[in-house]
Amino acid sequence: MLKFLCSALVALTLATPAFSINPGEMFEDPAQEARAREIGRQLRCMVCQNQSIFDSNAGLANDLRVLVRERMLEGDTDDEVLSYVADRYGDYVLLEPTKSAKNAILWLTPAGALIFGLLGFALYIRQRKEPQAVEALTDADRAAAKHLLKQRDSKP
Amino acid sequence: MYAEIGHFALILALVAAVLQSVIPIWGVRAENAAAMRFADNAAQIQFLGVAVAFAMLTRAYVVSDFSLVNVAMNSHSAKPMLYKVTGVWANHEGSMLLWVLILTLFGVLISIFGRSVPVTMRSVVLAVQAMIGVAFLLFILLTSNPFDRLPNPPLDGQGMNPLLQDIGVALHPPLLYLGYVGFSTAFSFAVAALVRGQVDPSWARWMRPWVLLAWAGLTAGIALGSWWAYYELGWGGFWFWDPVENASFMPWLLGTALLHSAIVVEKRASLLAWTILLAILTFALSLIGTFLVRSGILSSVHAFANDPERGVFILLILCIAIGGALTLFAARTNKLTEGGYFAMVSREGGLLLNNVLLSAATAIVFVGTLYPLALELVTGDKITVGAPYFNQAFLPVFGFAMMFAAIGPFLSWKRANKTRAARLTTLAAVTTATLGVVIIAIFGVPDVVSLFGIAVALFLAVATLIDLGQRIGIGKSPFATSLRRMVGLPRSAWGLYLGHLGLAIAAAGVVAAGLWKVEEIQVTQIGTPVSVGAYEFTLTGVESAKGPNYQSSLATVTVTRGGDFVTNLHPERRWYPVEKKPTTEAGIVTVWHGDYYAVLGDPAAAGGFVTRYYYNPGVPWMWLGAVIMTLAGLISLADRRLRVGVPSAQRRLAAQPAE
Amino acid sequence: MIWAVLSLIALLAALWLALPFLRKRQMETLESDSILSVYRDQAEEVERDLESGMITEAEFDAAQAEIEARTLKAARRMDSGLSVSGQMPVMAGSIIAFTLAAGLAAYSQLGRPQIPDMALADRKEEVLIRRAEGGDIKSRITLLEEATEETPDDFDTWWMLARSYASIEEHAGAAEAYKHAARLSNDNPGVLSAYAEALTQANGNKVPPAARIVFEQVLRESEVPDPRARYYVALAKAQAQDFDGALHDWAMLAADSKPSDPWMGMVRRDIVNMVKFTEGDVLNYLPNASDEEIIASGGEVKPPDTGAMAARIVDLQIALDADPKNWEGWMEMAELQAVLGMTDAARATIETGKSHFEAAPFVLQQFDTALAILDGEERRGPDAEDIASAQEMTAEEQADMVDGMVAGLALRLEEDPDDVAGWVMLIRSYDVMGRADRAEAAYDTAANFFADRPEDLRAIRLETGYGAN
Repeated sequence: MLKFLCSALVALTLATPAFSINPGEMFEDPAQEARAREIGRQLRCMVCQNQSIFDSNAGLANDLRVLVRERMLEGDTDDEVLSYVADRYGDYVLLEPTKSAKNAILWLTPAGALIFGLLGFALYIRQRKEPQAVEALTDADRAAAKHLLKQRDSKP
Repeated sequence: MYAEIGHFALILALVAAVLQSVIPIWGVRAENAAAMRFADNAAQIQFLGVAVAFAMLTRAYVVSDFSLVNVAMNSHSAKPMLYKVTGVWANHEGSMLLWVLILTLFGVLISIFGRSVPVTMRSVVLAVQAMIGVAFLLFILLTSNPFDRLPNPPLDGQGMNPLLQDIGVALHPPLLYLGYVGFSTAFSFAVAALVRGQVDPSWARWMRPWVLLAWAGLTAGIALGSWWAYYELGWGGFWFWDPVENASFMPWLLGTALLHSAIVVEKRASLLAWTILLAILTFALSLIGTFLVRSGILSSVHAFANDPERGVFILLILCIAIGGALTLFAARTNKLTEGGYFAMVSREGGLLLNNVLLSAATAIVFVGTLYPLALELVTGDKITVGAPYFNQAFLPVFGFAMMFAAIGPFLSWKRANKTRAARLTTLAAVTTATLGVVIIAIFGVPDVVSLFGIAVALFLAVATLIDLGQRIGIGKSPFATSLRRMVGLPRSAWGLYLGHLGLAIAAAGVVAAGLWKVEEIQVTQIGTPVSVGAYEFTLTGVESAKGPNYQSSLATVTVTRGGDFVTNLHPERRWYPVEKKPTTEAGIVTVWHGDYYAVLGDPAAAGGFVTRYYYNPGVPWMWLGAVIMTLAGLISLADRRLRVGVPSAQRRLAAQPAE
Repeated sequence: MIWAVLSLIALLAALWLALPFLRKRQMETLESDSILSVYRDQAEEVERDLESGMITEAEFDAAQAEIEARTLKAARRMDSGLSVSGQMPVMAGSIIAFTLAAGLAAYSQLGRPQIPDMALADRKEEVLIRRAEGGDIKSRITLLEEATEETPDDFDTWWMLARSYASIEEHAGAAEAYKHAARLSNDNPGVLSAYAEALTQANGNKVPPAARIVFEQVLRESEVPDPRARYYVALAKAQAQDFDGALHDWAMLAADSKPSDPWMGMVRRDIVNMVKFTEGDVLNYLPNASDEEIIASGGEVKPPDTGAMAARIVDLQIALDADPKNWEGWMEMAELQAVLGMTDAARATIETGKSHFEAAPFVLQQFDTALAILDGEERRGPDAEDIASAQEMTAEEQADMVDGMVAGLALRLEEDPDDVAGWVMLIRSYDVMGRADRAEAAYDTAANFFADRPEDLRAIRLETGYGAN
């Protein structure tokens, strides 16, 4: 049952973990494995730039992956696993920030930006009154303009 | 002496930039032709100075002159020549020098090819460009000088991160900077227009080629960076939403908006203030990106606080440039007289709406990128904003922008024929739905997000083709006429069609890659097949090989489908002894529908090798889409209209006898 | 020098900067001219759109009116005219002065004009010397190589180069260098011999014909036969299947050498191995072979001849009574007594011996050592193990030697296959070496040759156990 854990621990002690996922740590049941990866994609490898732990080969990422699978074996739901990891390592490991008060600005931005933009768009369109008429050019003006525009033709 | 000549040339460039930022402005005020002309000469000297400096630094890398601190820290005598050269900009000092090189390159290009721009405008543009140059040349000389010397050089250099020893990453910065820094021209044109209190359609036309060039470069640069991540990092991913990527993506988004709003200015003399604002903000995002990447604030807020010299310097540049420009904007914007009226449902209206959506998308990326930094500075809390946030927040907005990009071309200028637009939109929607049903019938029902993605990409492609068909009158006139019209389309029209098609193709690729990717990770024995979707991958052998500065294990993986040979993949695992770092080189073979992708890992303890096999459908479409978009930008750039306006009066006046 | 170059560069740049102010008279175009050409182009485009039917007449008119309005506006705002300027020598001078002064002043603050370029290629000498000083043989070799190019007629350089190569087992390089050294030393036998040895080592320790000729030449020409040449000539014989000749030569060499000579370890080792191969008696070649060597050569250790020993003890007793100042005699007697199990007598002998040498600390020390051995391990000499380990070949060396001999045999059989005993030996050798595949291949070759002589083939089969099925 815990075979994969043992081999994962062995892999941890090796100097160069080769891969983001070692076959040894994987679940044999594909459905469970898929679930593990889905959870893993929401956790950040703490020493990388925004890579998830399933995309990183750093030792710490490996550590977290093993922890995720361990929690799954304990029977945790996805959310329980995530909050367990976040409790131990801080919100920093969650690739998707929590929807809490401190992240209010972050989560309100998309809707805010969209509403603000569309409102601005609507107001802009509205406040522009159709001009009474295009400042009517007199025939003389038009002739003068046409002359200016044709000027090049007269030149060699 | 060469190194010192390079150093001196850099100082001369600074001197020229200082003069260039002052004298032309005085010239415009005093109506002095010579002082205005001076901007051209100064831009040329400034470029020449930086180019000589860059050449000398490159020479130092090529001959391994470790008496330069920069070379000693970042190069090694055993590196292949190609990576000695690309190593020049694979470090902080060198990359800043490349930044300024491209900045001055745009200056000199404006001085040479910008002859259609009247000198009264050009000289102010160049003066603003020179102010940016002064700032960054000072930054280089005072905080990041690549010409610092070592009287007793070491025997050999420290080497270079092997991850960076790759042709993709080597060409990535120059292209990226071409875009990044290229938007400085838009900034300079905008500031020049504000300084002179005059924005009109001709201004938009003068600015447009520079924005196009920058945009095409940035498109190619981002794609190249993504491509590098795809095959070098070895797990088939191509976009992480990491702050460095976002730093280049934000100017791209806003630059795309700028490109479109400039069309409205040119055609209808509308949206003047908005376009000016976009030009300023686009470059502001380039500067913010430079700040994020170069200050080190991303890796650690604390590291930045402990050694803030560089970051604070860039921050200062950022504040002065953007603050100054925005102040100027606030002061002058009311003097801009908006031109022609347009209805909400019109080409202008569509472009403006699209601008709004792109700006909202940019704002989302901006907040998502900077929020963790701000939160940590304010409260000390560390959080991460990763792919899940961006997928939820950014993708829908961008998807809607793409849908409006599809409909927009159906609308005519000023006031659209609503019946015609509705008819064409319905046609596009029905075609999309039909094709969508066919796809679902073949591949099965995907999740909602993917369905939306497929719909948007299809809709954009279909609508674009319908519009092209309308434009050349397919079905209405004889085929030969249509064909003749198609050939006769202006290049800027091709820019539109190819740009939108490229985007649709790339988006389709992204969706397909996310939806139908197959991944298998396992320990494989030589000769034992592993099934990957419809294919079987068999590791047929692993050999040792020796590269110029690394050792490698080179594997052969045979891909078959139902027993029929498909192709051979050659994944590689390299070990760089100087740097003591391993890298993986994925074995990739591209076919029209996707990539076969194999990665070789360590030998397993119980025999065999750890391997990762993928079938990545759609991935080549992304690169293809990016290439098409880049081409679209370049084709637009070649439009006849962007070349007209070379003053004919000059010749006439020059021919007059002297008084 | 550098300041002159920099000043010249600065001057050129300054002149180009000042150029606009040095021109006699220049004008700039009206800005409206550039603007008008843009609107002109827009008007033409609208016309084209009308012609191609992309816009209606009404749309065309509206667009045209808009462009015309823009044109008029631009024309009305039209600036006063040309901006003209004449020569401005003061301005030009100021720019030149500023560029030179600012550029050179800033450089004198930031630059390091005194540091020259130091490309790695130009620093090669320095790098090599620093590495060679750090004990890097390869750098030393590179330096010596360069020295030989400069002074190709210097014996010492070639000699050191050859030695350096030999020390990192680059035998081919060593042979080449020794060749030059030998030429420069007028074929000095010692140098020639070193040359031929390098040739042999470069050839995987198989003596090539060329090397054998050189060794034989050395033996002919030198007055005192060079032991190295003697050793290798014997090795060459062994590799050419002349086992008896080889053993004979090695035995002669062993007999002519002092036990402490550096090559003795190699010679004794080879004799032992060869004897094991030929199944002879090692004492025929090495009369003083140790028990370990005898066992290693496949022989049996005879029990010590107690009678002779006892007789020798009696002889020694008589001699030492006459002349007690022979400490080696005392030691030999004690040793013999110890071997015969008379430990107490041996102790007494040593004590007696010590009493005769009270003023000789070195000798006393020897006696004490002997006593210590007696008290500890009864019989073993202090350096028996050292000898054994010196004689032990590394597995690799052993394999090399056997390979050499077997390869020679295989070659000979290829030329002259009519040799049943030879085939038997070859197949057996392969079998012993664990190369069953080669043994089978050899048997097949033999079977081909002896196809029409079934008795011979049967003999081979019986002797080797191969080809049974």
